[in-house]
Amino acid sequence: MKIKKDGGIHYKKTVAEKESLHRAYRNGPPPFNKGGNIEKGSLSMRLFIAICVCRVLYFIGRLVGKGTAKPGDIARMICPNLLKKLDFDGKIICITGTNGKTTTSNMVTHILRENGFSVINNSFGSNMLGGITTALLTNCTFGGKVKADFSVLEIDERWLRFFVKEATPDYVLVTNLLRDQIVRNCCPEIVLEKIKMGVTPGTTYILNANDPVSQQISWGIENPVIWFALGENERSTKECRSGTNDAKVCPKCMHNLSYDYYHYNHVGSFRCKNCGFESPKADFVGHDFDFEGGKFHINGKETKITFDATYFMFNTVAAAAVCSGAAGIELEKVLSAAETFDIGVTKRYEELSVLGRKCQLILTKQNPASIDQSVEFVADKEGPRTLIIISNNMFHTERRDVLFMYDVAYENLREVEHIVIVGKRRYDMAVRLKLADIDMERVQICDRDEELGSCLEKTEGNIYVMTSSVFSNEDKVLEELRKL
Amino acid sequence: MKKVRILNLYGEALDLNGDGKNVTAFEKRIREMGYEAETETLGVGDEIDFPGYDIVFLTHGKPHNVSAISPDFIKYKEDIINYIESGKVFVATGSSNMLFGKSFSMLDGKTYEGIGLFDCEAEEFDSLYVSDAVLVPEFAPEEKMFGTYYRCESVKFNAPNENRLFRVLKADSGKGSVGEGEGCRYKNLFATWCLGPVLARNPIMMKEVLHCVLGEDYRETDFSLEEKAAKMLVEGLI
Repeated sequence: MKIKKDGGIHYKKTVAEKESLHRAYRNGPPPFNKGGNIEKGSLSMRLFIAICVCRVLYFIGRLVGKGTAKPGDIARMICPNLLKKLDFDGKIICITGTNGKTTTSNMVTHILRENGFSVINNSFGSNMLGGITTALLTNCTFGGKVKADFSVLEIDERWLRFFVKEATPDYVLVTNLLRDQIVRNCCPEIVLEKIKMGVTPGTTYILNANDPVSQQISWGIENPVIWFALGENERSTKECRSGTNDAKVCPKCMHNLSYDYYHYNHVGSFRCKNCGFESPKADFVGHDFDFEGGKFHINGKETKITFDATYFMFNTVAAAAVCSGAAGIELEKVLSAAETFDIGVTKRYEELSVLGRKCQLILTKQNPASIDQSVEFVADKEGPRTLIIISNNMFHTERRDVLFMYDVAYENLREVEHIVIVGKRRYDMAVRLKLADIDMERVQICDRDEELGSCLEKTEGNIYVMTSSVFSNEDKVLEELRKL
Repeated sequence: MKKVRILNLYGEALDLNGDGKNVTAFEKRIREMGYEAETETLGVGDEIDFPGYDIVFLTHGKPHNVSAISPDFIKYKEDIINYIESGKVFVATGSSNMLFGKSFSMLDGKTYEGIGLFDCEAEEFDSLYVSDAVLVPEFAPEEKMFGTYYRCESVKFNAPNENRLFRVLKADSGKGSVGEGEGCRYKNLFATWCLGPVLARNPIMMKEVLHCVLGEDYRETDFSLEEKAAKMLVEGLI
């Protein structure tokens, strides 16, 4: 296979080469800082040029619909350690974690703006150093002054440690640490170690008291910690309903960890009967849920449930901890602003009409926790239901190692009336569903995308499509669906 | 009715990338054959009576968890070696393989003791080897099966591994790569760094393990779906 060495996207990379690239990025950003010792006088000129180039490239990129990381990457080549040279007027809030960082980051930005603060954020694009640099350079003065009360930066959990080499965050929020992208991350503890490598003095950490993995960030550090949590509610379970539980044993003593209740995966209220390791007492707690009335409380203050999903309520409590606990805004004002935040539900759960039936797309991330939530979403719907599962090779690498399907609790689909499987890994998915004791009489394996229509004709009820960036032919399948 | 007693050893601590589903798949096959399957998941601090089990599973886990359970594991060194020497079935996948050598060293700089069944050492390294693989099992050299390797540790045998489990027909190269042969078959110990649902999606290996556990009591069950899926996986790679 030939490699296209044009500096752009290497469509023809072999699997091994793609993995090699992934591995290189796992070990840090590209070596931009090759400028050597630069005298002070030339620094400001370099910074000025970097800002100008970044803005021009960003503007051109917007016109042609290109990504947002490249302008920042090039600026960093022009001016190494660029973020060190910026002069921040306000506070830096970094938001990281496995799931929920984009939503929480956007919610925090919204709340702060609604309360009259000026905010810069990187909601428009990449959450690695290039994207963050682009966001800051397109919003600073030509002298490098970042004039905003807050810079709210969503940052990839493996890249935080590189960011802190150039700028010290005032607050770091870690939403959660779950099993994700095993090719890069192996397991959540590897990501935990990488976050811990980026702990800086003077930073306040805002951590999830329901997550025994990310909680470990607080071990052995002197930094102040603000804890957030969700209390038990009618959706909490005594047994773990998800396929993945990364905290079955205590991280301190390896004895079994006991849970009073689970929210999802390993997130819940836990304690170790052997060594006493347990959920810390939270400073910001979501409690007294009234799902029918669409409201719950945070620290005694009522707020609306604007999007009815557990993870979204977690995001809301986390955002409240940042905006009230860290930024000092009154909780009532925080919650009032949070109620007007738009999650962008239409993008995540787009609806189509297929064969005259309601068809809902369910976007998931490529991790079992996210797919588990999609499975539960369908399982909780009223029947009759038809679920289309698009199962293909891994998105970036075309690898066949779709092991994550064995970490998902497909057992929760036993009551779903009809399941149609499409994609290159359709038979692997069928094997997984059989292992989950799904009645295989209800399962159709669609060998050709074009046969999807005839498969669906044998089914009834609303259609749900589990679709994700993991599955590389999703557009083709969706195209077929839109024709029906 | 015949009862098969299964031990899922450290199944709570070592459960990464779907490895635990091997136990589920094995249980299901036993039941499909009309026998009773009883699984116990035991871990650190539990009393373990190895001779009481027909098969032991030790699955892939996080590097930290493997090193953390090792002091408990070597407490049973004699029991485990006796169990394996008696010809009973033991299936070890992924990183749990480190526990069978003399020792293994981790990135924290510490070296941990293994049970020393094999003359080998293992080490953790700061990168991840990832590969799909096509494997030829030594117990069925005319067959091919699919394997997956994700590893940041590897085992180095100090002498040629004469008991290898698989000939590697295809796998990626790179640091931590598996080489031409992988795994170890010693009596009825199946030790491989393949991880995930190795038995669940490879009927060839599942059947071999079932034969070893059941002997003449083995009964045919329907593997047609699994065989079709496995064939598609392998054919897509070679």
